Amino acid sequence: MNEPDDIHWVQACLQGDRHAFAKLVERHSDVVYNLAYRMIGNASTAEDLAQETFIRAHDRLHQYKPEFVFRNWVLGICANLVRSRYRWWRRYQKMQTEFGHHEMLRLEACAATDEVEAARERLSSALMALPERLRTPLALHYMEGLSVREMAQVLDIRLSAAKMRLARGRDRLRETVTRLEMEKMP
Amino acid sequence: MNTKIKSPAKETDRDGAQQAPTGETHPFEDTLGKVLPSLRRAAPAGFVERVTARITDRPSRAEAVGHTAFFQHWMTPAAVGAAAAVLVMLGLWAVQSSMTAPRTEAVVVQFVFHAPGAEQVELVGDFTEWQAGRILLEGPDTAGQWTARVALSEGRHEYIFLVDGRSWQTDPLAQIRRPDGFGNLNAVMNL
Repeated sequence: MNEPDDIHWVQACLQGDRHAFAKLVERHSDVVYNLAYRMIGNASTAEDLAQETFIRAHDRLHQYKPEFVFRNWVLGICANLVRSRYRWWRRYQKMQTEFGHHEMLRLEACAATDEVEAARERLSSALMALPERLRTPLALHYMEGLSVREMAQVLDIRLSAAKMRLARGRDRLRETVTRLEMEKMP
Repeated sequence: MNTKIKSPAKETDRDGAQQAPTGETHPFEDTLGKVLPSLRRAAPAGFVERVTARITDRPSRAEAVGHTAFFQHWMTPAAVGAAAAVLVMLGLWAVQSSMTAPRTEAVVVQFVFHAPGAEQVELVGDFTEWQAGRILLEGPDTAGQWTARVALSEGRHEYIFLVDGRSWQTDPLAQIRRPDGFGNLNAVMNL
């Protein structure tokens, strides 16, 4: 038997089924948590924001329109929440990029014993070292499989801007990983 | 907050990201496609239960407002501007927290913002530690006004309105405004 889709659970929730919303949280908790984590870079804060995202989604469920993808709707709430709650985020991001991140990348790369794992860690660290405006599009596109159009909608930016950020993020990521690999050589 | 998601996914758009604006191709793309999904972070154990518990446990908005009203002493209604305004000047509210603590006075302020087309208006300021989601204005009424009553300590406060979770709006009738460092202007009031 096929598992009911998101629309089914949304309707059930709106009709008073108290357990229906838990199904929606269960389905989309990973994608929302991962987005929050990739935007903010801190696990406990990410959980708090992800929880808040679902609470807001619950409160506004009557505003949800079935023609939209529920996952993207809730991701949009998450992205807006992170940005509205952390107005200082850009300033913090700038500081983070300017101070100490390079050392952090080197340390994380050295900590991994396996070569493949080391490469993976380098990529992970390089991703988190990117400015949020470049990192989040990469995470949504490559980790969560959102199309560029979906990603633009979630982040409430133009399609052209989404493509540009993706291309720049990819270039910056490649530059950082290449530099780290060269530093690793004797 | 209402997100602007207008249509379901179109997978064909994904190809649009494979190419940089310059037309340069990216073999690095393959690596990203293979490695990044494996770096995905799953929600911590018990996450679903914690969310549902928070939804179940919290008081409804009506209960929360009633609780706040219990502590406030509304004294003087303020005039409402035609467009938007923060209307101050209600009563003084004395709080004596303990036998030894100094007397602290708070002023109940009514915030009013005109936004007939908005779906949500939040008040964000130093008194919310600049965090959104703490003070939601009620509304809109038939005139498009959103309102909230907040008890604030005496002194200087800065604030700004957040409309639909993304648009920062300075109070248009604020007497004093100050750049917030993010390209917006905070309203300033002295109580």
